[in-house]
Amino acid sequence: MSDDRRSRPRRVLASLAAVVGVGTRLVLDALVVGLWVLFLTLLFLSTNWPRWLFYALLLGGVGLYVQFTAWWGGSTSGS
Amino acid sequence: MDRREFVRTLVTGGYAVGMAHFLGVEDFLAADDDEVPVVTALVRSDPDDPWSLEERTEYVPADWYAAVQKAIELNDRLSRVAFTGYLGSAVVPKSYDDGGAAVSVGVSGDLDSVRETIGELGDGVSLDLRSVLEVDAVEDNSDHYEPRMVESVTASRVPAGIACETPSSLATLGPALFDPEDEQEYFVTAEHAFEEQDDVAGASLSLPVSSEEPVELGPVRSAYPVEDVAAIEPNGELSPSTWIDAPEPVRVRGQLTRWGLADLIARDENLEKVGALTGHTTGRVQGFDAVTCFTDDFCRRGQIRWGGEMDLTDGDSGSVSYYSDPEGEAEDVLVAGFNNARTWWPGQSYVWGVAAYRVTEQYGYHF
Repeated sequence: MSDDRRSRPRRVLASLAAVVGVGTRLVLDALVVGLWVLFLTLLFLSTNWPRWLFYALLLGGVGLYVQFTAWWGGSTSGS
Repeated sequence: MDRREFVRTLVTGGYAVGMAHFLGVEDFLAADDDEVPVVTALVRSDPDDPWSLEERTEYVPADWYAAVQKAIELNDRLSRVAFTGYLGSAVVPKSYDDGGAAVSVGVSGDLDSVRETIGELGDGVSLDLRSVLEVDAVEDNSDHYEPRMVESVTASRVPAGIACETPSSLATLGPALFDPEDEQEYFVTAEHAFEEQDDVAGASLSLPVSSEEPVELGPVRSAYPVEDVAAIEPNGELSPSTWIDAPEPVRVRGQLTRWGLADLIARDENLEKVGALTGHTTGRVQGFDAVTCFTDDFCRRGQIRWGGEMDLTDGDSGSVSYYSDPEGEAEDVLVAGFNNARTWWPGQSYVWGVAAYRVTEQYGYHF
């Protein structure tokens, strides 16, 4: 059917774009979260704050980041 | 948060925690408020791989650490000033509960004027002055000891703690010494056993065998007169070993650091040694970072004091003092340092020799 010959490449392109999109987001996540870990490590090195606080801030920060980027970017392929 | 975001949080959270661990966050987070981490030993993760040394970290009370650190600095300054009458000094940490440290100084002369010369000391650091009578060294009665030798050469590796021979004297063979720069292993013994040679480098070290001719171990590759260490390059037939010929053979798994020794003193722990003449003895560690000016025209630094006069006699030089590693296998030990000399004057009784950490700091070799 004539439809298939045009929509198949478009569908492949669309999934390729999705993969690149996910890839970029992974790299961005890794970078931002990495910087957050580094910042907290340096901060806790110079203060005498307790261990539970480190992990609370670490995971709290990650949670907030995910929430924030979720509204902002919208979800990947329609919710 | 929908399911996708939840998964993303989990994955990112896991990545964050993993990265935090990679950065070594647990090293300082896990300390109690009043504790600090110190590296107490360098230990091989693979006992058969000489180059697999890793740092072992432990936590010590912060106030004890501060006092010992101050004592180390004071001891160093004292030794550099070398006021008249100064014969040597050492750092002697007190127990953890006490949280302090002492600097033990040996002087010949008036104790009070010395106290004035030294002046103010820091918090928690006390001065322990000992008068040393300058007496001549007493002749050793090592005749009643039979040197420990191998009966015959069966294996290809020679353990430490048995007799070895220089062209002029008998000494004790130490465990294998490693040079990470050229990835070489060496036989090692006291440099002063080669004293009578014009040229120590190249002089030959042999292994006396009770029923046969002595076997040559190799030529001296490097000699360090101040540290009193000679490194001998194996000539191919026999190789050095990390095993020590103690009543129950033990294996060297690494060495103690300066703080490892400080920790042993604080806990009143013992060191052991196996010498060619006096065999296996044990004794308390008495001081580290010691400076001794009792022999020769120069002062030796980075020494350890342990045990007593009876623990060393002529022929035991070159042996190492070691500590039974509670965290390793039953036969694992950590080297503290070499045994080179002992006290002979009244009032003090200990063996001394260069610490392994000092040799590593100066030249890079390790056990």
